[in-house]
Amino acid sequence: MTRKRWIEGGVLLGVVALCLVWWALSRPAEQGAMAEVWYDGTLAMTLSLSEDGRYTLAEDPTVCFQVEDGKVRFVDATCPDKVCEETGWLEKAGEMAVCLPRKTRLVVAGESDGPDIIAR
Amino acid sequence: MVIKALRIVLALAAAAAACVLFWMLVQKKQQQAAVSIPEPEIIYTGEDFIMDTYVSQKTCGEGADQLIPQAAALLEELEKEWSAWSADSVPGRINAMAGVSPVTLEPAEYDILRQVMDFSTETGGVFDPTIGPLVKLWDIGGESPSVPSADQISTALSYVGMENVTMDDENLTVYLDRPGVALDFGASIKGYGVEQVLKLYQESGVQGALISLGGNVAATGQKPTEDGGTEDFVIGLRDPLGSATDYYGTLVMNDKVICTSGGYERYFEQDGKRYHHILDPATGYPAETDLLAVTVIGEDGLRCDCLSTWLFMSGLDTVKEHLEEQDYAVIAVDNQNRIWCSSSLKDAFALTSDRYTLAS
Repeated sequence: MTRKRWIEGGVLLGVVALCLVWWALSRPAEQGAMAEVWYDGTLAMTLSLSEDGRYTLAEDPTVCFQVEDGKVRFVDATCPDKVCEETGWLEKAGEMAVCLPRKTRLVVAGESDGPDIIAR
Repeated sequence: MVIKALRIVLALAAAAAACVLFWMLVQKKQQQAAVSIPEPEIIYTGEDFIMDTYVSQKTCGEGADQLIPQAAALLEELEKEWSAWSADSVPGRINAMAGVSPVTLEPAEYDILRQVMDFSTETGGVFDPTIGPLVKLWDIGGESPSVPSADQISTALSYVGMENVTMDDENLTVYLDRPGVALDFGASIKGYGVEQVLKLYQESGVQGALISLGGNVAATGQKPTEDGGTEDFVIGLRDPLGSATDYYGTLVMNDKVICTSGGYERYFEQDGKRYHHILDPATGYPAETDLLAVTVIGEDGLRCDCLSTWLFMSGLDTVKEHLEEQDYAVIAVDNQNRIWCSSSLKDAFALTSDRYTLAS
Protein backbone atom coordinates (compact mmCIF):
# COMPACT_ATOMS: atom_id res chain seq x y z
CA MET A 1 0.00 0.00 0.00
CA THR A 2 2.67 2.48 1.07
CA ARG A 3 4.97 1.36 -1.72
CA LYS A 4 2.28 1.95 -4.39
CA ARG A 5 1.74 5.43 -3.02
CA TRP A 6 5.49 6.11 -3.22
CA ILE A 7 5.55 5.00 -6.84
CA GLU A 8 2.49 7.06 -7.69
CA GLY A 9 4.03 10.01 -5.91
CA GLY A 10 7.26 9.53 -7.81
CA VAL A 11 5.56 9.33 -11.20
CA LEU A 12 3.55 12.41 -10.36
CA LEU A 13 6.68 14.27 -9.29
CA GLY A 14 8.40 13.23 -12.50
CA VAL A 15 5.52 14.47 -14.61
CA VAL A 16 5.34 17.73 -12.69
CA ALA A 17 9.12 18.19 -13.05
CA LEU A 18 8.91 17.58 -16.80
CA CYS A 19 6.03 20.04 -17.10
CA LEU A 20 8.01 22.63 -15.16
CA VAL A 21 11.05 22.14 -17.38
CA TRP A 22 8.95 22.40 -20.53
CA TRP A 23 7.23 25.53 -19.26
CA ALA A 24 10.52 27.13 -18.25
CA LEU A 25 12.01 26.38 -21.67
CA SER A 26 9.06 27.53 -23.73
CA ARG A 27 8.36 30.69 -21.74
CA PRO A 28 11.25 32.89 -22.94
CA ALA A 29 10.18 32.35 -26.55
CA GLU A 30 6.75 33.77 -25.86
CA GLN A 31 8.19 36.62 -23.87
CA GLY A 32 10.42 37.48 -26.78
CA ALA A 33 7.53 38.59 -29.02
CA MET A 34 8.41 41.97 -30.47
CA ALA A 35 6.71 44.62 -32.52
CA GLU A 36 8.53 46.79 -35.01
CA VAL A 37 7.70 50.38 -35.82
CA TRP A 38 8.72 51.48 -39.30
CA TYR A 39 8.76 55.18 -40.06
CA ASP A 40 8.97 56.25 -43.70
CA GLY A 41 10.56 52.97 -44.76
CA THR A 42 13.12 52.55 -41.99
CA LEU A 43 12.97 50.65 -38.71
CA ALA A 44 12.44 53.34 -36.08
CA MET A 45 11.89 51.33 -32.90
CA THR A 46 11.12 47.89 -31.53
CA LEU A 47 8.70 47.23 -28.71
CA SER A 48 8.70 44.20 -26.47
CA LEU A 49 5.18 42.87 -26.21
CA SER A 50 5.90 41.68 -22.67
CA GLU A 51 6.43 45.21 -21.39
CA ASP A 52 3.07 46.87 -20.94
CA GLY A 53 3.04 50.60 -21.41
CA ARG A 54 2.65 53.55 -23.73
CA TYR A 55 5.33 54.46 -26.22
CA THR A 56 5.88 57.49 -28.41
CA LEU A 57 7.65 57.58 -31.76
CA ALA A 58 10.73 59.81 -31.48
CA GLU A 59 10.50 60.81 -35.16
CA ASP A 60 6.90 62.01 -34.76
CA PRO A 61 5.70 62.39 -31.15
CA THR A 62 2.06 62.55 -32.28
CA VAL A 63 2.28 58.81 -33.00
CA CYS A 64 1.68 56.67 -29.90
CA PHE A 65 1.47 52.96 -29.21
CA GLN A 66 0.11 50.91 -26.37
CA VAL A 67 1.38 47.47 -25.33
CA GLU A 68 -0.82 45.31 -23.15
CA ASP A 69 -1.01 41.57 -22.47
CA GLY A 70 1.26 40.67 -25.36
CA LYS A 71 -0.64 42.84 -27.84
CA VAL A 72 0.08 46.22 -29.39
CA ARG A 73 -1.93 48.97 -31.10
CA PHE A 74 -1.88 52.59 -32.24
CA VAL A 75 -3.49 54.95 -29.72
CA ASP A 76 -4.43 58.63 -29.57
CA ALA A 77 -4.02 59.08 -33.31
CA THR A 78 -4.12 62.72 -34.30
CA CYS A 79 -4.52 61.98 -37.99
CA PRO A 80 -7.95 62.65 -39.53
CA ASP A 81 -8.90 59.15 -40.62
CA LYS A 82 -7.76 57.10 -37.61
CA VAL A 83 -7.55 54.02 -39.83
CA CYS A 84 -4.45 52.95 -37.89
CA GLU A 85 -6.33 53.06 -34.59
CA GLU A 86 -9.32 51.17 -35.96
CA THR A 87 -7.09 48.33 -37.07
CA GLY A 88 -7.07 47.48 -33.36
CA TRP A 89 -4.87 45.14 -31.40
CA LEU A 90 -2.08 43.28 -33.18
CA GLU A 91 -0.89 40.05 -31.67
CA LYS A 92 0.11 37.42 -34.21
CA ALA A 93 3.33 37.50 -36.20
CA GLY A 94 2.91 39.49 -39.38
CA GLU A 95 -0.16 41.42 -38.27
CA MET A 96 0.23 45.07 -39.08
CA ALA A 97 -1.38 48.48 -39.07
CA VAL A 98 -0.39 51.38 -41.29
CA CYS A 99 -0.86 55.08 -40.63
CA LEU A 100 -0.69 56.74 -44.05
CA PRO A 101 -0.73 60.39 -42.91
CA ARG A 102 2.18 59.75 -40.52
CA LYS A 103 4.00 57.25 -42.78
CA THR A 104 4.19 54.79 -39.91
CA ARG A 105 3.77 51.03 -39.91
CA LEU A 106 3.40 48.87 -36.84
CA VAL A 107 3.99 45.14 -37.31
CA VAL A 108 4.40 42.15 -35.02
CA ALA A 109 7.78 40.63 -35.84
CA GLY A 110 8.09 37.12 -37.18
CA GLU A 111 6.93 34.94 -40.02
CA SER A 112 3.20 35.00 -40.66
CA ASP A 113 1.46 31.89 -41.91
CA GLY A 114 -1.12 34.00 -43.78
CA PRO A 115 -0.94 35.29 -47.37
CA ASP A 116 2.19 37.02 -48.68
CA ILE A 117 0.30 40.26 -48.95
CA ILE A 118 -3.17 41.61 -48.30
CA ALA A 119 -4.61 43.70 -51.12
CA ARG A 120 -6.33 46.56 -49.37
CA MET B 1 10.14 -0.95 2.12
CA VAL B 2 10.79 2.77 2.35
CA ILE B 3 14.23 2.38 0.82
CA LYS B 4 12.84 0.44 -2.14
CA ALA B 5 10.26 3.11 -2.76
CA LEU B 6 12.88 5.82 -2.56
CA ARG B 7 14.92 3.93 -5.13
CA ILE B 8 12.01 3.84 -7.52
CA VAL B 9 11.45 7.55 -7.08
CA LEU B 10 15.12 8.25 -7.70
CA ALA B 11 15.15 6.03 -10.77
CA LEU B 12 12.10 7.81 -12.17
CA ALA B 13 13.61 11.21 -11.48
CA ALA B 14 16.84 10.15 -13.17
CA ALA B 15 14.91 8.83 -16.17
CA ALA B 16 13.01 12.12 -16.40
CA ALA B 17 16.22 14.11 -16.17
CA ALA B 18 17.79 11.94 -18.85
CA CYS B 19 14.79 12.50 -21.10
CA VAL B 20 15.01 16.27 -20.62
CA LEU B 21 18.75 16.30 -21.26
CA PHE B 22 18.35 14.23 -24.40
CA TRP B 23 15.57 16.49 -25.62
CA MET B 24 17.65 19.61 -25.01
CA LEU B 25 20.59 18.05 -26.86
CA VAL B 26 18.41 17.25 -29.84
CA GLN B 27 17.11 20.82 -29.82
CA LYS B 28 20.63 22.20 -29.72
CA LYS B 29 21.77 19.97 -32.52
CA GLN B 30 18.86 21.11 -34.68
CA GLN B 31 19.78 24.71 -33.98
CA GLN B 32 23.38 24.06 -34.95
CA ALA B 33 22.24 22.34 -38.11
CA ALA B 34 20.14 25.37 -38.96
CA VAL B 35 23.15 27.61 -38.47
CA SER B 36 25.70 25.53 -40.39
CA ILE B 37 23.62 25.02 -43.56
CA PRO B 38 23.24 28.31 -45.46
CA GLU B 39 19.67 29.56 -45.70
CA PRO B 40 18.27 28.36 -49.02
CA GLU B 41 15.74 31.18 -49.26
CA ILE B 42 16.72 34.67 -50.28
CA ILE B 43 13.79 37.00 -49.82
CA TYR B 44 14.12 40.75 -49.72
CA THR B 45 11.45 43.15 -48.57
CA GLY B 46 11.10 46.87 -48.99
CA GLU B 47 8.61 49.53 -48.07
CA ASP B 48 7.99 53.13 -49.02
CA PHE B 49 5.28 55.74 -48.93
CA ILE B 50 4.68 56.82 -52.51
CA MET B 51 1.59 58.21 -54.30
CA ASP B 52 -0.01 58.91 -50.92
CA THR B 53 -0.07 55.23 -50.10
CA TYR B 54 1.88 52.38 -48.58
CA VAL B 55 4.10 50.46 -50.99
CA SER B 56 5.50 47.09 -50.05
CA GLN B 57 7.67 44.78 -52.13
CA LYS B 58 9.00 41.28 -51.76
CA THR B 59 11.66 40.04 -54.19
CA CYS B 60 13.33 36.65 -54.24
CA GLY B 61 16.57 35.26 -55.58
CA GLU B 62 20.13 36.46 -55.88
CA GLY B 63 20.49 40.12 -56.75
CA ALA B 64 16.77 40.63 -56.32
CA ASP B 65 17.40 43.29 -53.68
CA GLN B 66 18.35 45.74 -56.43
CA LEU B 67 14.82 45.64 -57.85
CA ILE B 68 13.34 47.23 -54.74
CA PRO B 69 14.92 50.70 -55.09
CA GLN B 70 14.47 50.52 -58.88
CA ALA B 71 10.74 49.95 -58.52
CA ALA B 72 10.46 52.64 -55.85
CA ALA B 73 12.25 55.12 -58.11
CA LEU B 74 9.92 54.24 -60.99
CA LEU B 75 6.88 54.91 -58.80
CA GLU B 76 8.33 58.16 -57.48
CA GLU B 77 8.81 59.31 -61.08
CA LEU B 78 5.19 58.45 -61.86
CA GLU B 79 4.05 60.30 -58.77
CA LYS B 80 5.91 63.42 -59.92
CA GLU B 81 4.44 63.04 -63.38
CA TRP B 82 0.82 62.48 -62.38
CA SER B 83 0.14 63.93 -58.92
CA ALA B 84 -2.76 66.37 -59.08
CA TRP B 85 -1.17 68.36 -56.25
CA SER B 86 2.10 69.16 -57.99
CA ALA B 87 2.40 72.15 -60.35
CA ASP B 88 4.97 70.40 -62.59
CA SER B 89 2.93 67.25 -63.16
CA VAL B 90 0.83 66.51 -66.24
CA PRO B 91 -2.47 67.39 -64.51
CA GLY B 92 -0.71 70.29 -62.74
CA ARG B 93 0.40 71.86 -66.02
CA ILE B 94 -2.93 71.24 -67.76
CA ASN B 95 -4.96 72.57 -64.80
CA ALA B 96 -2.78 75.70 -64.54
CA MET B 97 -3.49 76.45 -68.22
CA ALA B 98 -7.24 75.91 -67.96
CA GLY B 99 -9.00 78.61 -69.98
CA VAL B 100 -5.65 79.96 -71.11
CA SER B 101 -4.10 77.63 -73.68
CA PRO B 102 -3.74 73.99 -74.71
CA VAL B 103 -0.82 72.04 -73.22
CA THR B 104 1.35 69.76 -75.38
CA LEU B 105 2.19 66.37 -73.87
CA GLU B 106 4.80 63.70 -74.49
CA PRO B 107 3.36 60.83 -76.58
CA ALA B 108 3.44 58.41 -73.61
CA GLU B 109 1.69 60.95 -71.39
CA TYR B 110 -0.89 61.75 -74.01
CA ASP B 111 -1.56 58.05 -74.52
CA ILE B 112 -2.36 57.54 -70.83
CA LEU B 113 -4.64 60.55 -70.84
CA ARG B 114 -6.36 59.34 -74.00
CA GLN B 115 -7.02 55.94 -72.45
CA VAL B 116 -8.50 57.45 -69.30
CA MET B 117 -10.68 59.81 -71.35
CA ASP B 118 -11.85 56.97 -73.57
CA PHE B 119 -12.73 54.93 -70.50
CA SER B 120 -14.69 57.85 -69.13
CA THR B 121 -16.65 58.12 -72.39
CA GLU B 122 -17.22 54.33 -72.34
CA THR B 123 -18.84 54.64 -68.89
CA GLY B 124 -20.97 57.61 -69.90
CA GLY B 125 -19.09 59.84 -67.46
CA VAL B 126 -19.73 57.70 -64.37
CA PHE B 127 -15.96 57.49 -64.16
CA ASP B 128 -14.67 61.01 -64.71
CA PRO B 129 -11.06 62.32 -64.47
CA THR B 130 -12.38 65.92 -64.38
CA ILE B 131 -13.40 65.22 -60.78
CA GLY B 132 -10.41 67.33 -59.59
CA PRO B 133 -12.43 70.24 -58.10
CA LEU B 134 -14.47 67.78 -55.99
CA VAL B 135 -11.40 65.86 -54.83
CA LYS B 136 -9.78 69.14 -53.72
CA LEU B 137 -12.97 70.30 -52.01
CA TRP B 138 -13.46 67.13 -49.97
CA ASP B 139 -9.73 66.60 -49.36
CA ILE B 140 -10.38 63.10 -48.01
CA GLY B 141 -7.08 61.76 -46.73
CA GLY B 142 -5.95 65.32 -46.00
CA GLU B 143 -5.35 66.81 -42.58
CA SER B 144 -8.83 68.05 -41.70
CA PRO B 145 -11.55 66.84 -44.05
CA SER B 146 -15.15 67.86 -43.36
CA VAL B 147 -18.41 67.65 -45.27
CA PRO B 148 -18.63 70.67 -47.62
CA SER B 149 -21.78 72.78 -47.79
CA ALA B 150 -24.35 72.04 -50.50
CA ASP B 151 -23.39 75.34 -52.16
CA GLN B 152 -19.72 74.41 -52.27
CA ILE B 153 -20.58 71.05 -53.78
CA SER B 154 -22.81 72.46 -56.50
CA THR B 155 -20.15 75.05 -57.35
CA ALA B 156 -17.46 72.35 -57.62
CA LEU B 157 -19.84 70.17 -59.66
CA SER B 158 -20.29 72.95 -62.22
CA TYR B 159 -16.61 72.48 -63.15
CA VAL B 160 -16.88 68.70 -63.50
CA GLY B 161 -17.59 67.07 -66.85
CA MET B 162 -15.88 65.64 -69.89
CA GLU B 163 -17.33 68.37 -72.11
CA ASN B 164 -14.83 70.76 -70.52
CA VAL B 165 -11.89 68.86 -72.04
CA THR B 166 -10.65 69.20 -75.61
CA MET B 167 -8.04 66.76 -76.83
CA ASP B 168 -6.13 66.99 -80.10
CA ASP B 169 -4.79 63.58 -81.15
CA GLU B 170 -2.65 65.04 -83.91
CA ASN B 171 -0.84 67.72 -81.95
CA LEU B 172 -0.99 65.80 -78.65
CA THR B 173 -2.52 68.74 -76.82
CA VAL B 174 -5.08 68.94 -74.04
CA TYR B 175 -7.15 72.00 -73.20
CA LEU B 176 -9.53 72.68 -70.32
CA ASP B 177 -12.04 75.28 -71.39
CA ARG B 178 -12.12 77.54 -68.30
CA PRO B 179 -10.19 78.21 -65.11
CA GLY B 180 -11.33 75.97 -62.27
CA VAL B 181 -11.69 72.80 -64.34
CA ALA B 182 -9.13 70.26 -63.07
CA LEU B 183 -8.02 66.74 -63.95
CA ASP B 184 -7.24 64.12 -61.31
CA PHE B 185 -5.73 60.72 -62.03
CA GLY B 186 -5.89 59.35 -58.52
CA ALA B 187 -8.27 56.56 -59.57
CA SER B 188 -6.20 55.27 -62.46
CA ILE B 189 -2.48 55.90 -62.18
CA LYS B 190 -1.71 53.47 -59.35
CA GLY B 191 -2.86 50.53 -61.47
CA TYR B 192 -0.61 51.81 -64.25
CA GLY B 193 2.26 52.07 -61.75
CA VAL B 194 1.83 48.47 -60.63
CA GLU B 195 1.80 47.33 -64.25
CA GLN B 196 5.08 49.17 -64.88
CA VAL B 197 6.69 47.61 -61.79
CA LEU B 198 5.45 44.17 -62.86
CA LYS B 199 7.13 44.70 -66.25
CA LEU B 200 10.35 45.73 -64.50
CA TYR B 201 10.24 42.50 -62.46
CA GLN B 202 9.47 40.35 -65.50
CA GLU B 203 12.26 41.84 -67.61
CA SER B 204 14.80 41.41 -64.81
CA GLY B 205 14.34 37.63 -64.83
CA VAL B 206 13.89 37.65 -61.06
CA GLN B 207 12.99 34.34 -59.38
CA GLY B 208 9.92 35.88 -57.80
CA ALA B 209 8.57 39.31 -56.90
CA LEU B 210 5.50 40.91 -55.41
CA ILE B 211 4.39 44.56 -55.31
CA SER B 212 1.56 46.16 -53.41
CA LEU B 213 0.67 49.82 -53.94
CA GLY B 214 -2.38 50.68 -51.87
CA GLY B 215 -5.15 48.48 -53.21
CA ASN B 216 -3.15 47.42 -56.25
CA VAL B 217 -1.07 44.26 -56.35
CA ALA B 218 0.95 42.19 -58.84
CA ALA B 219 3.10 39.08 -58.53
CA THR B 220 5.44 37.20 -60.82
CA GLY B 221 7.57 34.04 -60.50
CA GLN B 222 7.80 32.04 -57.33
CA LYS B 223 9.19 32.37 -53.84
CA PRO B 224 11.68 29.91 -52.32
CA THR B 225 10.55 27.78 -49.40
CA GLU B 226 12.49 26.61 -46.36
CA ASP B 227 12.98 23.10 -47.74
CA GLY B 228 14.66 24.37 -50.88
CA GLY B 229 11.58 24.23 -53.12
CA THR B 230 9.50 27.04 -54.52
CA GLU B 231 5.86 28.03 -54.25
CA ASP B 232 3.39 30.58 -55.57
CA PHE B 233 2.73 33.89 -53.91
CA VAL B 234 -0.59 34.03 -52.12
CA ILE B 235 -2.51 37.31 -52.19
CA GLY B 236 -5.08 37.93 -49.47
CA LEU B 237 -8.12 40.06 -50.30
CA ARG B 238 -8.91 42.46 -47.48
CA ASP B 239 -12.13 41.76 -45.58
CA PRO B 240 -14.10 45.02 -46.01
CA LEU B 241 -15.98 44.34 -42.76
CA GLY B 242 -12.92 43.30 -40.77
CA SER B 243 -9.79 45.07 -39.68
CA ALA B 244 -6.86 45.80 -41.97
CA THR B 245 -5.28 42.46 -41.09
CA ASP B 246 -8.36 40.38 -41.98
CA TYR B 247 -8.90 38.89 -45.42
CA TYR B 248 -11.95 37.15 -46.85
CA GLY B 249 -10.22 35.08 -49.48
CA THR B 250 -6.97 34.31 -51.19
CA LEU B 251 -5.90 34.58 -54.79
CA VAL B 252 -3.02 32.93 -56.58
CA MET B 253 -2.49 34.93 -59.75
CA ASN B 254 0.80 35.68 -61.46
CA ASP B 255 1.61 38.27 -64.13
CA LYS B 256 -1.65 40.17 -63.79
CA VAL B 257 -2.50 43.47 -62.16
CA ILE B 258 -5.00 43.14 -59.33
CA CYS B 259 -6.81 46.38 -58.48
CA THR B 260 -9.22 46.77 -55.56
CA SER B 261 -11.58 49.63 -54.76
CA GLY B 262 -13.53 49.90 -51.54
CA GLY B 263 -14.95 52.47 -49.20
CA TYR B 264 -13.11 51.14 -46.16
CA GLU B 265 -9.56 52.26 -46.68
CA ARG B 266 -9.65 56.02 -46.99
CA TYR B 267 -12.45 57.93 -45.33
CA PHE B 268 -13.39 60.23 -42.49
CA GLU B 269 -16.34 60.29 -40.15
CA GLN B 270 -18.57 63.20 -39.25
CA ASP B 271 -21.68 63.07 -37.06
CA GLY B 272 -21.52 59.29 -37.05
CA LYS B 273 -21.60 58.98 -40.85
CA ARG B 274 -18.71 57.64 -42.86
CA TYR B 275 -17.51 59.51 -45.96
CA HIS B 276 -15.23 57.46 -48.19
CA HIS B 277 -12.88 58.69 -50.91
CA ILE B 278 -14.63 57.44 -54.07
CA LEU B 279 -16.58 60.51 -55.15
CA ASP B 280 -19.54 60.34 -57.52
CA PRO B 281 -19.22 62.98 -60.27
CA ALA B 282 -23.03 62.95 -60.65
CA THR B 283 -23.87 63.91 -57.05
CA GLY B 284 -20.65 65.40 -55.72
CA TYR B 285 -20.83 63.11 -52.69
CA PRO B 286 -19.09 59.78 -51.92
CA ALA B 287 -20.62 57.15 -54.22
CA GLU B 288 -23.68 55.35 -52.82
CA THR B 289 -23.27 51.71 -53.71
CA ASP B 290 -24.50 48.26 -52.72
CA LEU B 291 -20.94 46.94 -52.91
CA LEU B 292 -18.30 46.82 -50.19
CA ALA B 293 -15.32 46.10 -52.42
CA VAL B 294 -14.52 45.31 -56.05
CA THR B 295 -11.35 43.65 -57.32
CA VAL B 296 -10.52 43.66 -61.04
CA ILE B 297 -7.80 41.41 -62.44
CA GLY B 298 -6.22 41.88 -65.86
CA GLU B 299 -3.11 42.78 -67.80
CA ASP B 300 -3.84 46.44 -68.43
CA GLY B 301 -3.22 48.05 -65.01
CA LEU B 302 -4.53 51.47 -65.98
CA ARG B 303 -7.78 49.98 -67.24
CA CYS B 304 -8.16 47.61 -64.26
CA ASP B 305 -7.77 50.49 -61.82
CA CYS B 306 -10.40 52.52 -63.71
CA LEU B 307 -12.66 49.45 -63.92
CA SER B 308 -12.55 48.69 -60.20
CA THR B 309 -13.48 52.28 -59.35
CA TRP B 310 -16.25 52.37 -61.93
CA LEU B 311 -17.71 48.97 -60.95
CA PHE B 312 -17.63 49.94 -57.26
CA MET B 313 -19.60 53.11 -58.03
CA SER B 314 -21.99 51.42 -60.43
CA GLY B 315 -23.07 48.65 -58.06
CA LEU B 316 -23.95 44.98 -58.12
CA ASP B 317 -26.19 44.95 -61.21
CA THR B 318 -23.37 46.35 -63.33
CA VAL B 319 -20.89 43.88 -61.82
CA LYS B 320 -23.23 41.01 -62.76
CA GLU B 321 -23.21 42.19 -66.37
CA HIS B 322 -19.41 42.23 -66.47
CA LEU B 323 -18.47 39.02 -64.66
CA GLU B 324 -17.55 37.15 -67.83
CA GLU B 325 -15.38 39.56 -69.80
CA GLN B 326 -12.52 38.55 -72.11
CA ASP B 327 -9.85 40.96 -70.93
CA TYR B 328 -10.51 41.10 -67.19
CA ALA B 329 -11.96 39.15 -64.27
CA VAL B 330 -13.90 40.46 -61.27
CA ILE B 331 -14.38 39.58 -57.59
CA ALA B 332 -16.99 41.73 -55.84
CA VAL B 333 -18.31 41.76 -52.27
CA ASP B 334 -21.87 43.06 -51.88
CA ASN B 335 -23.62 44.45 -48.81
CA GLN B 336 -25.45 41.14 -48.30
CA ASN B 337 -22.07 39.52 -47.60
CA ARG B 338 -22.07 37.67 -50.90
CA ILE B 339 -19.03 37.21 -53.13
CA TRP B 340 -19.45 37.51 -56.90
CA CYS B 341 -16.59 35.96 -58.81
CA SER B 342 -15.81 35.48 -62.53
CA SER B 343 -15.86 31.81 -63.50
CA SER B 344 -12.31 32.13 -64.88
CA LEU B 345 -11.11 32.61 -61.27
CA LYS B 346 -12.68 29.46 -59.85
CA ASP B 347 -9.30 27.75 -59.43
CA ALA B 348 -7.30 30.82 -58.46
CA PHE B 349 -9.66 32.23 -55.83
CA ALA B 350 -10.48 30.62 -52.49
CA LEU B 351 -13.02 31.96 -50.01
CA THR B 352 -11.49 31.69 -46.53
CA SER B 353 -13.90 33.65 -44.32
CA ASP B 354 -17.21 32.21 -43.15
CA ARG B 355 -18.64 35.71 -42.91
CA TYR B 356 -19.35 35.51 -46.64
CA THR B 357 -20.98 33.15 -49.11
CA LEU B 358 -20.19 32.58 -52.76
CA ALA B 359 -22.98 33.87 -54.98
CA SER B 360 -21.51 32.95 -58.33
